[in-house]
Amino acid sequence: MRLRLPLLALISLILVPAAHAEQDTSWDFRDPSFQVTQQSLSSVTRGADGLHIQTNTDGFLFWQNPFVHPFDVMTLHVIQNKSATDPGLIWHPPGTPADATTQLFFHINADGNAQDIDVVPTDNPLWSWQTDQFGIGFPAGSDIVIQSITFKQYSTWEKIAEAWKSFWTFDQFRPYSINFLWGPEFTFSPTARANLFTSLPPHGMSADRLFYSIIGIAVLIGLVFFFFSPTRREGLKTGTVIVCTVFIAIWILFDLRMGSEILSYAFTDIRTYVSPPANEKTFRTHGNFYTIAHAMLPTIEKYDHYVVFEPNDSPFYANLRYMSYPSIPMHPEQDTSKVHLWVVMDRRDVQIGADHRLADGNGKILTASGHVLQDFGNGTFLFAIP
Amino acid sequence: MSIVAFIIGTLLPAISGLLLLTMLEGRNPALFFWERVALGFVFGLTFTMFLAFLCTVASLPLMLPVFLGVQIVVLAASFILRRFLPHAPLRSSRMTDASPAVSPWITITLQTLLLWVIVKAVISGVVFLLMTPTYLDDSLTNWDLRGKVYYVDHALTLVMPNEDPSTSPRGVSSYPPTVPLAKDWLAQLAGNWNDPLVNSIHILWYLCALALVYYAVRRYASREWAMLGAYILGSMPLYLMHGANAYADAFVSVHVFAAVSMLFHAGRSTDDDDRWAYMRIAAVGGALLSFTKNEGMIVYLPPFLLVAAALLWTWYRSKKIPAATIGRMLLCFAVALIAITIPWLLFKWSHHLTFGNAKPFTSLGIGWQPGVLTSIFINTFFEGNWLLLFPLLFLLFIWRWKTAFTGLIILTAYFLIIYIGQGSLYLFTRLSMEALMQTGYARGLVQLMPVAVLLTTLLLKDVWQPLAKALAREGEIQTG
Repeated sequence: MRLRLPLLALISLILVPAAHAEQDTSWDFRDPSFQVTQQSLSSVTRGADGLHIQTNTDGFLFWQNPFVHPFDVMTLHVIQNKSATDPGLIWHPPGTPADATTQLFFHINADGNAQDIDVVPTDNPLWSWQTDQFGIGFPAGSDIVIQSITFKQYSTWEKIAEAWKSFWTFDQFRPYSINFLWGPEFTFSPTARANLFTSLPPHGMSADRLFYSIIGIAVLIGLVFFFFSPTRREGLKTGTVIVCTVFIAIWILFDLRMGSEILSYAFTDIRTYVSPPANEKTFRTHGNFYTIAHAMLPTIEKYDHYVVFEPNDSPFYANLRYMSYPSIPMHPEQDTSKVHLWVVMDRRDVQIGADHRLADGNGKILTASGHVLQDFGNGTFLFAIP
Repeated sequence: MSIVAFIIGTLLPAISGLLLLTMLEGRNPALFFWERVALGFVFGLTFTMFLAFLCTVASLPLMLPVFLGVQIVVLAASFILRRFLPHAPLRSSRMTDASPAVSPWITITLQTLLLWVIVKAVISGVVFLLMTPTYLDDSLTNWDLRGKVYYVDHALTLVMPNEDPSTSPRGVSSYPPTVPLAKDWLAQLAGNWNDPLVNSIHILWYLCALALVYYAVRRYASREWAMLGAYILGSMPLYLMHGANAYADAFVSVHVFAAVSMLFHAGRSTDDDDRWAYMRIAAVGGALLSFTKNEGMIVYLPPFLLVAAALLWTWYRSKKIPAATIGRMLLCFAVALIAITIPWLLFKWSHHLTFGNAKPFTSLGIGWQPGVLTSIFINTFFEGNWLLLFPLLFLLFIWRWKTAFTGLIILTAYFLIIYIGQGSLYLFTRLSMEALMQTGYARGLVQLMPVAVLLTTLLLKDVWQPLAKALAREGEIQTG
């Protein structure tokens, strides 16, 4: 008898989420009966592959009151032939002025084959599936075939499973990891989980919210025992045990999660940098920079000064300055006329002209005539000027 | 060669520190043996690097003979001074009450958790510090770079490579040179600049912090409570990241803790000799704070002196301690500050070095900074940096406010002055970027972390004791 209530609660806990089963809806643009409205797009034609959109101006496809159920992920099945493009979802958030819209951009690579592009609209906090106006915007220059769009809503159990997996999904060791660690985040679809730490801040729900909620519930239960037990002392004991157990369990779980993340950084370093042979080493966010830098150093160290030509916001200058001292790097903007070595890092736009001078992607001449001393490929080389 | 350099380079200053501490303690041991070892390493290294700094000011080159000379002179002086000054036996340990028996499961659980802490520290420390290249920004542009520049130039160079000579000294060179000098010292011993060797010391500061927290708690509670304190500190993810990477904030934190915890022990002590010993150690620790990072001088030293002054004033008002003794304590603080803080201050002034966090305080501007409060809130409560420490600590402040503001007032006051002070800087000055970008704010917490953990552990004990008594009485009633 005493177990009846908890059992009923447990069964309803299982049954209620199960009622929220998976739902899929698909829009097939190859089906001539499927209606599409467009605005400002240069050309929208329907073919056997789907809807072919070519546009020289910004424009969009749009629908009114399009959704009949919420969804977690929309998957666009597309063929993108020429260049990459950045379309965006556009919608009118309910409860905002009629002319207010919100956008969520996504990226489609240039790829002659069919691609599935997953978009998680809930990444934008203003998303609502109950929007009365929904569109997909295409920037000028887009040339794309959309075959279909699938809107998928995961079942509650699938979401719980995804949330558990995302809890154990770790960030990588990045330059910001010394300043903060995002910690465990919940996402509710495989797509959201795969992209969890690719944006700043991550598009997830902090697990701390759940932790605080559980602790709060434990405190409430503890208080119930404290006030409603036959004796205060018995209530105090039971309540204390409940609150302490829950708090300690969460602390240890949190510690295991964060400790595992830090250990995962270490094991990733071992796998990608420590163990591989020199020519296969990569390191965190810097790719094979350290392998190249170590190969460059014997040459660099023969020069008092050298110029580092690298992409903007690149970390290579700071690294080289430390690694090569007392050889001192300079920036291209400085007076480099007396410098005889250029270190070009990751600049595929740099060309060597017929006169053997370096020029950047805009054709601006950078150096006097010289020659490549060491070439590491992918726009990375040492250039000596006699 | 690197291993030999590491052993010699850490052992020599640690022994000197150990010997000097026994003299600061006086006749009766005030420290636990391993606490003395940890503190000896921390103080010994910083103090000998300070002396190496003085040598460069005296135009001596930063070369092995100078570094080695400093170490040998300090070591010899320590041995000689011990012959004339009262001192605690080297291997002595402070006596403690026997730990009351607890369930073996509690002990086993805590030991397992501490093992997990050690596993994390060893693996991450070995991989990040010894097996991989220097990667993080401040290591590359400050701590390791300056060390390498000193090593190559054999001088305390203030102009960093390819920086404007007129402005460069106001940047990272404004920081005290302790950490770079320590790296230089190890490299001089090894005969080459070697990243794993020069970065290896960082994990020692982290381990020392764990040991110091353990023994600080052990003074007032059982072995299990001490293990809990060490575990809480070891479970802090961002603190581990700082301990296992070549940054100087764990280094600052252990100095802050050493100074403040000694002040706290002095305040709690009922034994005159102990009180004196803690005050002497606190005075040296406080003075060394100024030679850690700029924050040491600007942020951590003034509140430390304020709390120390308040403690002395309380003793004076209560006539608990003779005025002459208080005068001697004041003199002790003054001598330490004059010997360590003033020379560094004079050097800074004479070389136009700044006092801020690599930014001069004169250019901060005043005004409400939007977004900072949210950023602080998220960093403190909704990320993985500190687990649940801060909600727990703030709750304990409220729940056990009487204890927090009476028995633990020294720790509470120090923590809150710094926390609220730093928070105000971010909320009302252009230093707000440090909070918005989650850089300086988190560093501040890393630097305060051992103090916060000691406070939390002692407040938890304060919660637990009456609770355990009540539960025990219930057991007696039932069995009776």
